[in-house]
Amino acid sequence: MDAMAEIRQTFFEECAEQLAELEAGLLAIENGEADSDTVNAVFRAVHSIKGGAGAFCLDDLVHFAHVFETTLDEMRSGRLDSSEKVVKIMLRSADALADLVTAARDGGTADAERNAGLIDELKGLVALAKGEEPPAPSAAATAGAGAADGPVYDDGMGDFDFTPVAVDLSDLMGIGGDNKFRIVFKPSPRMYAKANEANRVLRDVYALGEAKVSCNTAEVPLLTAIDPEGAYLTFTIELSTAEPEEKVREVFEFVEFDCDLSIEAIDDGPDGDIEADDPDIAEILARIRAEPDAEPAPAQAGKADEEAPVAAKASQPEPEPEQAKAAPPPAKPAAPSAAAAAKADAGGDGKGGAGAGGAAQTIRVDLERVDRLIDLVGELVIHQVMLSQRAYQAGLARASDVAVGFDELEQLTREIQDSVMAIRAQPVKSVFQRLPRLVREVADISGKQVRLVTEGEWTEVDKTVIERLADPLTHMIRNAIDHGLEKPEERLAGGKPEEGVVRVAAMHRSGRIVIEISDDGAGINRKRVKEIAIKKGLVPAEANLSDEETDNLIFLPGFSTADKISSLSGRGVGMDVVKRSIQALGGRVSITSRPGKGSTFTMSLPLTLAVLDGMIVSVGDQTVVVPLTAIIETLQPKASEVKSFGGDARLVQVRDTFMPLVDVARELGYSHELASATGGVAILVEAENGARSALLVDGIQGQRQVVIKSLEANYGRVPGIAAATILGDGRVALILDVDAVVATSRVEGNFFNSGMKHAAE
Amino acid sequence: MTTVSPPLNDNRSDPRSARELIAFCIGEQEFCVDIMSVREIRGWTQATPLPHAPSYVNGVINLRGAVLPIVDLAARLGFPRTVPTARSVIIVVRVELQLFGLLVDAVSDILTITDELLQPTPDLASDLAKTFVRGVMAIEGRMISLIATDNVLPQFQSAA
Repeated sequence: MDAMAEIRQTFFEECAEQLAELEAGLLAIENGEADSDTVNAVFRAVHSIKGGAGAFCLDDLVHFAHVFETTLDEMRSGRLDSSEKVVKIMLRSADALADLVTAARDGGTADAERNAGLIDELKGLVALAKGEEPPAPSAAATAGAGAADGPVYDDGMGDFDFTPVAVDLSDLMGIGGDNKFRIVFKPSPRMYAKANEANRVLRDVYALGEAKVSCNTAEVPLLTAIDPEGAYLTFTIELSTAEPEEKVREVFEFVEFDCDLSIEAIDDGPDGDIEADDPDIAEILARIRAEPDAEPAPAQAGKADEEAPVAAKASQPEPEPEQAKAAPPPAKPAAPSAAAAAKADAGGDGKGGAGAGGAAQTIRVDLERVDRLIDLVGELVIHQVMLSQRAYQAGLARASDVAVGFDELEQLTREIQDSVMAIRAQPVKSVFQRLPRLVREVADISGKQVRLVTEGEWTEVDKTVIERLADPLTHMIRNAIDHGLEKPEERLAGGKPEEGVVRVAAMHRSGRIVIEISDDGAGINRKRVKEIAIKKGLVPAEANLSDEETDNLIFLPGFSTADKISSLSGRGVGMDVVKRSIQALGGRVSITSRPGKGSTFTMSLPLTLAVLDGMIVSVGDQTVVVPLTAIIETLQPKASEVKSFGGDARLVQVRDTFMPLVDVARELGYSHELASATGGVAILVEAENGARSALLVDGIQGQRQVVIKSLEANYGRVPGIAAATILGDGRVALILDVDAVVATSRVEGNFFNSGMKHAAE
Repeated sequence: MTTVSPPLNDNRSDPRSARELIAFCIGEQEFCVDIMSVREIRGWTQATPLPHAPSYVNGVINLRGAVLPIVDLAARLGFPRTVPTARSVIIVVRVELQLFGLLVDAVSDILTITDELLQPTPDLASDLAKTFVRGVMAIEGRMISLIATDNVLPQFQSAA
């Protein structure tokens, strides 16, 4: 069963890719950027899902996909205009398809009512398209679509379900022809004894054209009487091929004497011809045949399954059509080859997506293996540092050959580390492509018109960051639409176009990834924000806040500006959750807003969660790592610059500003004495809200890239500590959570900071 | 030492099943843990203290790249804190997916016992002892308490 589960998993992975492709394609069509390739890609995506689903007997999915595919085919053939209305229906269908896939994977149920509605709408579109074209009456189209769930995998082998010889997928496509044969093929035990296989022969028959196989199992005895090496099956093949009878006979050349074989030419009959069953498929076939360029590839690929021809067609622009040919591994049970072919298909899609920029080769690797590699390389870096440190301690001369060797080794290990990290890097596209659906849904519910613009979707970032980016991003986009954008009528009144724009852009900036979510809505209503904050007791009524501080109030826990609780956002778990989840990633979020023009949220995140550039400092007798990204500058405070500020609180004067001096040793509980400010080093850090503080440490040891080790795996969360690392001497050093340390150090009663403190805890 | 093994609970249903225990000393007292939960035994290395950690957590050490918390078992059981010396021993145990080290004075013995030997923790024992001691047994006139490793680490709420 494991193998089956694996194939299933692969199928669903492929589905996710196909769905993404589908959605991307539909959006391109919507934006008028589509060419025929786009429509083909969309069609192919749905088709592949249907094909795979057929193999797993996911009836609902197959049925829906089939109707969807039929409609898409109308579009592909140019009979159906890609008008806005049509694309909208298709986008909703894509969402429904995604739900069906999810339901099939997780065993849930999809919204059957909505799907039924969509199926009707889709059929309506087909009817519309067909109605304009007399030769294909709409009734036939509907009938074809209605009957779809049947013929898709009904290959006449319904009584054959106890054997793994599933020939499910193979019955649909293929290159039919004018010659039709009925082949009755009854292998004898001798044939199997000679290591020939009926399955293989059947596959060869498929290669000739369009074949429909049925298996007669009447002779199979009861299990007790069965001879394991016997042969009991009779296959009846209805073949429609362009090849002459000799070619057909050739297939059976090697088994001819070990089986009962009869091949007879037949006339066109109403039964057994898939083209007659399903006019849409007939059209597809017709079109494939009409494209002479595509001819060789589908002929090869047609062997194994129904999707290969489409895949081959897609890869047509590529120099090597062998791609498609190589895809279906021969002589395997049908199901695995279906998955493999689906994989090949997906590979083709990926290339199509990358455009003409050359086909990049990719492999699928288990994530665990990559992580293991990353761990090992992390160890390598640690040991390399340890080794060179020991060597220098032992008196190695800096100018010696060995020292030069150490330098080279260091560079190499760094390079290895970077390369390994790059394996995990992925474009943010995988998150971005979920957004259009979200925007559609939120826009529908809130009754606003929204256009989503994404930029920089190929920006790469570590997979773990991507995974954990989705939630905060979703939340922020919801907020942007729900709270940020105005209703269409308000927008018109404000002299703006009816349709609001939400822009999501990703970019690399100084070793971090920055994601901006901006809307062209009303901007933050600072007066209201302040009123609410005062009403909820988050700030004292007399507080005098700058615009920036006011904007940042929305990140306080328990703050929600929505007048009424909508189903979208505004349950009081708002931006503070977003902020916390971003902080947990080692990121920051900030907001800028211009009244009437809109707001921009900026998230800045580390590119990877595995390494970090840090400043190694001494705190008490411990070594602590301060993330370099938080540090602005370091200085040695003079006695005259340090001012007492009531109680134990101290301020340090840096040029013209005063900022709180945070005694790190005391915050971490390493010492209970107040450290002398003049004896140490002050590290200026900036928190998310832009507030600056100075961290007082005993000394700076150096600057280094460190491998982040989780403390939570074996222990748990430690306040003030983000993670741990292992230094060159093999000891564990803790990585400071700058924001948390700064926040907890703040004096109670300071409204803003007590809020911060809550957020940090 | 075998590393792949059924968890402790699996043999418990069979009363005659023998189990192996590692006995160790804390001060004058002897304790033991199930050998199946022990991953390795190693010497003491200086731990990096964790801020705001309970007093019985010595800190963390580097166990071949993993960050391993060290629990001073004496302090955890309510005894005075162990002053680690070069002869102190860290018993690395695994509870579910978590790996941590128990700081003890010395490993004394490997015992093979059957479950009948195990007596319930006496009633006069303090609550603290009841939390961490699964039962006691008499071996050659010595009393050895079986430590329940599940509760040794401080409990954290799942990170928000």
